[in-house]
Amino acid sequence: MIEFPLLSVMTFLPLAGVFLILMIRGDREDVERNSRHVALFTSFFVLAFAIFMYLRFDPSTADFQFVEKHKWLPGIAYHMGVDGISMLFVLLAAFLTPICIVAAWDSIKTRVKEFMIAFLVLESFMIGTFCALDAVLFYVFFEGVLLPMFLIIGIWGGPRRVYASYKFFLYTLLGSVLMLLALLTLYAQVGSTDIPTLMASPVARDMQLWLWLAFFASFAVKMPMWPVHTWLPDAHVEAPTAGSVILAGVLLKMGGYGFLRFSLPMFPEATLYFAPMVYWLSIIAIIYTSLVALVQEDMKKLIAYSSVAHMGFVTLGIFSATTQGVEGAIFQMLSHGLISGALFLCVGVVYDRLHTREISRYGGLVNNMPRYATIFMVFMLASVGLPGTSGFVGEFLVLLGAFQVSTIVAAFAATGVILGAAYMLLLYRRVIFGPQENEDTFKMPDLNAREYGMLVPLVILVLWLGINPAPIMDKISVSVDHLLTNYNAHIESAQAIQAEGGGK
Amino acid sequence: MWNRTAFWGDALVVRAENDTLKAAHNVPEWVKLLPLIVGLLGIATAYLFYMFKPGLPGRFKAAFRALHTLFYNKWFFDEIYDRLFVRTARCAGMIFWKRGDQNTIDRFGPDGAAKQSQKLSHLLSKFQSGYVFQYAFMMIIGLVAIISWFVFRAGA
Repeated sequence: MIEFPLLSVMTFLPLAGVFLILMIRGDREDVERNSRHVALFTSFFVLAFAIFMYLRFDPSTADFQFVEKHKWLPGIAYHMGVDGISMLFVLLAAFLTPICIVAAWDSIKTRVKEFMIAFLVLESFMIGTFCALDAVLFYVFFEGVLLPMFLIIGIWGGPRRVYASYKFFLYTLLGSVLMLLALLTLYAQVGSTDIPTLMASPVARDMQLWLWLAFFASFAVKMPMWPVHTWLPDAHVEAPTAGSVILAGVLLKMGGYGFLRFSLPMFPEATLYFAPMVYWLSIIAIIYTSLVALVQEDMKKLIAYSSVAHMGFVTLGIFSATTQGVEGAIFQMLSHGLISGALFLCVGVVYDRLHTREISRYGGLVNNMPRYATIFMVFMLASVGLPGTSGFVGEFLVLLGAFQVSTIVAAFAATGVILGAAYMLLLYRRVIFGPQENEDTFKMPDLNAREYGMLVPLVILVLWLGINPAPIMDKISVSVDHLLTNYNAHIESAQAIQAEGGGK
Repeated sequence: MWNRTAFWGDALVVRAENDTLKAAHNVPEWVKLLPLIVGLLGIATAYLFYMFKPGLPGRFKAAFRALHTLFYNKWFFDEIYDRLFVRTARCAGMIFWKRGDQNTIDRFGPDGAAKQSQKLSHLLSKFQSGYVFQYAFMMIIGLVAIISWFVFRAGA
């Protein structure tokens, strides 16, 4: 019996939706309405498959599941599969896409058909990235994501969209080219690009250092880590709301996922060697970008900088290589995907009404938009990391993990929590409270049904995961244990060999 | 049945040497009465100052001007906090944003690279003049360079 190719179906179902949208003919209005509906239904189908995958996933093993393997090119296979680390990212991507399509429902008014096509292509590539178990396949999807995102920013973006999209594209591509070189080297060394095979056959230490740096160049840009983060604020500010949500929600996580899938298991000695550098870069990112966020006048830019700070926690957790740190980093990535996505949606709600993101143009929204103020407050506090929201769990676990490695690092990182509270509360006070100075802000209506539809699921998830993180933790813990056991075993054997060599 | 010790378990541990709570229970009697006495004294002073002799506060203020200013402004806590934390944080944020992100990372990173490659391509485009004799000249120069490189390498 042939197993149902669940992952391939999820990856390529959006492309089938694209095909359907391409066939729509008729009046402009008909085309727009139909392409919106096709996109939404397609993404709902993908979400249904993703939930099915979540329920069928066996959390008691660290092996890859739902595996598909077909011959493709010599040495390179079409190999798909998920483990506890990647499975939830697939679910996150599948969950955020329909929300984004709903967010773009009314606010995208030009080239609706093309926008929906770009978005479905984007979903297909995102899911493919997290499912791929062959490095070349991963690379194809990882890079493919750039194209629809480039178009989404460059066509439907704000006034400086061309600058922002080029900056985004060139920054990311520069890192990726180095990753491609590293992949070619790996292929030459090991003779395969199969990820499980690569994990099982580590290369020599000197080679590890170079390869680690090449992969780091790519993932650090994607993450983004200081000092290669400057594309993110520009890209976020110019991107349409839906683009920002996916960018913050899923695309940034590809960097963290890459570290967990490539850097830690394949180059353990290099990871240990470079870990202190990553700690310091993370701390600089956390403090530096939090301070920059504090002085922003643009709502989206503030949230963009806060994303860089939150991603600093993720890299800190991953490279602490402790159970709590890595589990916290994964949780933080998932929770940040929901929270920052939701915050960008919140900005989008008021942007659609007033067409400005300038903080000083708002104020006193609590008077005429009380429901909006409540929902915004939930996400604001979740971003701060209030206990009871999902933001707390990840941040706390990361700090716990970092504390075991270095108390100084943990102390610096903890200041980021304080600064995070400062800039988020300041943003909330200036937008929601304060005097109502402008006539037009007073006339803004509260949330409509469509906006409830996209925000309420996120509120429920953020609170639910904050109170009961088990649905995520149970699924990832075995895979994380497996990852760290292998990592420590590699390091121990490498140190033993080194000690032997030194004794001679 | 809900069992208190079973529910809390070891979540709240008080070690034997940490006897602060117990010590707080066994303070002398006058310590427990002190809040009441001080409270009553406060009420009495307030009555004296504002009901019985309303001129007293003004004379007090004149006599202990410095102390009054300090207390009146809450020990200047807000001002110190503002100078020490709020303004420094904002100032640092501005410096990191304008000088760090925009004037260093972007200027020497992506924007600088873009500008340099534009300059370079402007320069290189000047070679594309369309005159055949210039192209021929370039080819000869190239040929001379390659040949001399081979000759010198063979000689070494």
